[in-house]
Amino acid sequence: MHRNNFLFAFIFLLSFVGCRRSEDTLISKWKPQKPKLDFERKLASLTRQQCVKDLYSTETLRAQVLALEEIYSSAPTVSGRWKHLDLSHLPVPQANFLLKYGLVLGDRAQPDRFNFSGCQDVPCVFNRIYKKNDDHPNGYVHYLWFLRFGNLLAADNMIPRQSSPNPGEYQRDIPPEKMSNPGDLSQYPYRKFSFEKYLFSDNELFGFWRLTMMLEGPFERLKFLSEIQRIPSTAWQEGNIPNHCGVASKSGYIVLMDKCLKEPETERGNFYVKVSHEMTHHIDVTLGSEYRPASHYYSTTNEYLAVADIKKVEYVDQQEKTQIKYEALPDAKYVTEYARTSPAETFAEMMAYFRFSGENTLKATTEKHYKFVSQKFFNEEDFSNAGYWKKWGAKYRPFVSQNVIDLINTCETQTTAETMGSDYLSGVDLPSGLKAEFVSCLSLRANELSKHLYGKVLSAEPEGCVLMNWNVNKVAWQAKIKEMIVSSITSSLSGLKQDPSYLQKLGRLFEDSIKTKVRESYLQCSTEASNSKECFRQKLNQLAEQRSTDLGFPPEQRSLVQDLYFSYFSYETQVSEVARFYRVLVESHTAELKKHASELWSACLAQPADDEVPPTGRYFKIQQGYMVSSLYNCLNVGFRESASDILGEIRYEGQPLTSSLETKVLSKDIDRLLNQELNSLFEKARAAEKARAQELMNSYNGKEESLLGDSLGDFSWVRVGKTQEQCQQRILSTLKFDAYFDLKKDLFKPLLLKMSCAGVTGLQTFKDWADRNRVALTSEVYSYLEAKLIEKGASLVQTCKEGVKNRSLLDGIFGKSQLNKCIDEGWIVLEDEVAHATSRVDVAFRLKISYESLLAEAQRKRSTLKKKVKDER
Amino acid sequence: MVNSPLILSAILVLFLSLLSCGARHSKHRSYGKMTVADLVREKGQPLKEEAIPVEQGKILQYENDEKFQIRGDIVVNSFRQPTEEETTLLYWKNSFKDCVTEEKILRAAGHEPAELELVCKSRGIRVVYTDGAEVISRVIEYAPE
Repeated sequence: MHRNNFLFAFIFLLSFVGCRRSEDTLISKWKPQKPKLDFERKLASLTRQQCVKDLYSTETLRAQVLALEEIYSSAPTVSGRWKHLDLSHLPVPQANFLLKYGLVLGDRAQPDRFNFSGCQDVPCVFNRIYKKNDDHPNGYVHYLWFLRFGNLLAADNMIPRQSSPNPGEYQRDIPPEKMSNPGDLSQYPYRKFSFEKYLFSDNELFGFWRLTMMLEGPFERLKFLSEIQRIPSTAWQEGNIPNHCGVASKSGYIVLMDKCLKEPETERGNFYVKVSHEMTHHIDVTLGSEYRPASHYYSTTNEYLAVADIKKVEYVDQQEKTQIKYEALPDAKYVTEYARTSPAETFAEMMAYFRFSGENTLKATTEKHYKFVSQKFFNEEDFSNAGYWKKWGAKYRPFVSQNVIDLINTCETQTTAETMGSDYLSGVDLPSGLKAEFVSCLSLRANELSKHLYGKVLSAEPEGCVLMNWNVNKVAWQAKIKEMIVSSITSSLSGLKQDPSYLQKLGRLFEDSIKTKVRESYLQCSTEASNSKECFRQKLNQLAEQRSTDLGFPPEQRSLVQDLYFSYFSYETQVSEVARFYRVLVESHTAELKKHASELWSACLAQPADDEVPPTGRYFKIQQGYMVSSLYNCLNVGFRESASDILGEIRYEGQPLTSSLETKVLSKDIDRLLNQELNSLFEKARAAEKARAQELMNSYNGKEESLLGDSLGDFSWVRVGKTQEQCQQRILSTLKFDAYFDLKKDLFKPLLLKMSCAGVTGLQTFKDWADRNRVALTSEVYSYLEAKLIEKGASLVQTCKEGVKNRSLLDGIFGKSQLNKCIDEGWIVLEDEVAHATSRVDVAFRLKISYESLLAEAQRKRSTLKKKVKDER
Repeated sequence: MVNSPLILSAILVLFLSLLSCGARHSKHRSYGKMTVADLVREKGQPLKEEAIPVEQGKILQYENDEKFQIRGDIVVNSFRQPTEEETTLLYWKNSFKDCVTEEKILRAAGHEPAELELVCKSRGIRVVYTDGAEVISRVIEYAPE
């Protein structure tokens, strides 16, 4: 009986152990499918060496698009329509794109100008705008940019924040002779530009295409960038900033002028430096928002200023003006002269030139600055020549490994020496004791492989050709290739010697299940570890170790497996892929997000406006303008619940979110997008409120006197010294208007200026009232005098106490007389000042209460007031 | 008459302890009136001293990027980071809602957005921020006007 009970209890306990729930991640359900168009196979089939630029074609672009879309083949479809297109029939990223940007495409003055009928995808939509055939590369470049970076290469005729409300109009047409002093700008008409002037040229789009392959890391995570817009050809950005060709704004945009877009055919030239410079300004504000304490720019934080050898100098000058300046320290070195302009420009120039002029940047900046940028932003890589060899060496190592396996397998069956041998490999390159036919075959095949890899780099790496134009680089890279091939052959042969199945095992190192584990390792490290890169290295190491054990690799081969894993599963690739997966997953739930944002907004807006308590909250913030604190605080209180509800609705392959790690990651994207959506509702509501306020003000045109009369009433509200303020308050409270998005005094400032509360004590009605109430008002003036004497007397006593050395009782005995002397002397001066000031105060001035009478009153009350002040202190 | 040695000793000790009482630290900062000595009594010795192009002027720097501007021997301004609660510009607009505020341009917009300052003279506070930013970068305090 007892034994049975024990057995039952044991089984019961076991069931809990066995049933512990594991957290399934959504990303683990992503099973990469082989894309229909394989860019890799295309590269492999090239019969001659070609540069990346030679491969610019619809076919290449379509293959790249499909490779990026592939992740979302299992994401839930998006509901809705865009013109004739049913979004649920489109790949999820295309549907997301049209939901987000569908209203800002094409001619904003004539929305029906372009005929999109027959279009079945986003590239076609853009190509109709460009009046190209549906399959033209232009459309694909626009869409590919969105896939890579999540923002829009604009194709419309409305520049962000332009002053004209009309699309196609930009910049006041100011005659050249009036440019330096144009006067009232409204006298000049706007310049009109044809729609085509707003579009990027074919050449410029080619440049953007290359950038999709060249920019990684922080360029893919620009929180505040929504669109990149071209200023019409030949125009400058409004505000006339002639020395700059581009402007980046945290409000969500980058605008680019002709000069920024020149020479995209020059492979690392002006176009690439300028565009990446502007994008770096967005990296700056993204990092600034994540820095603690939050800063507008990361580049003005102490962390960056120290690295860039910049000192912040701040003071208030002789004219009482605040001065905040940034000065270079003696050891500072700048990559360009323009970088000296400000920390933001130092940062932008440094990042752009680091990426596109690696060798020159190495010489032009300090080692400290160079290393910092490499480590923090570029995965410890750099773009000097040596940096490229290292980067490509790591990137193509798995490719070499795989091909070496194939060529060894092929050559093992070779029984006769090749009639056309190759001296690519010699005896010193290979282990001794190998058959001549085998060596000859290896040499020939290795030579082919080296040419293949060389060609692959030229055609797959945007900077491959430009580097190999220099013979010294060509020689260095070919030597590196040979080193990789020889190393791989040597280690493979060594492995084979010990284990005939070695090559088969190598082929099984990168199965899909491993890729899932790698992604999940990165996910865990990025959310839980303080140093996520180091954490990822350790986990990858463990995975390599485990895989080696599973496949039966001997201990001496395990470091090879480790190296292969580090090459194949680079940290930066995980960062990029995982971020993109979650970004698009969240964006495919845009409809749910908008719904919850709208519900929260409406619920909070329904509450009465109350601005008494301070605005607090760290989830929702407004970028500019004002919001009444009751609304602001309500939105912050409800924010987390809304975000949580949205998370609860996330689905991938029909599965809900259950992983706490993924919840953490997705929360960041949800918080950002919910914030954006609430800000968008705020901006609309603010504009509407301003329009209503303007309407109300217009209704009072010509009736200001009547409004003033209604507001002032019988003047019983008048308080000495605050008449003007009270007058404004009275007018504002007469206006039946609940202001949520601006201080009422700011919203109705033009009306208040017209009403002129400054002159209210000059009105005849006021004078009559003051005469009737002279006695009471005079008494109030004297009370005001007394209150001011007490207030300023308290400061006087404090100042005297601080000035007198009163450290101990002994000092106190002698110090007390010094203190009293200080107060007595100061009090006389104070009486004179306060009496003068009071005589000029609104009511006193109007009643003509003289300075002499006020001074006499102050002197009469001197001892009482002094005693009162001293007693209170 | 007090002639007990014990009581006399107690009185002496009391007298001496009163003599040796430490300085009273002022909690009230009166910019424009407090001296460098007052500041040092309150915050200790500064980490650094910097010259500025203001007559008799210098900056004393303390931890957490807090700085004090001195003219002669008087502390005239302080510069500090906002607290967690004070970080947003909205907080200050709300805090200043009953104040006659001024918005000043410290650096006009060009390639970068303008750097602005919101001033409440009656409270002796200015806050510095970049146009378009939701957070402020500095709080400057001085004698209220």
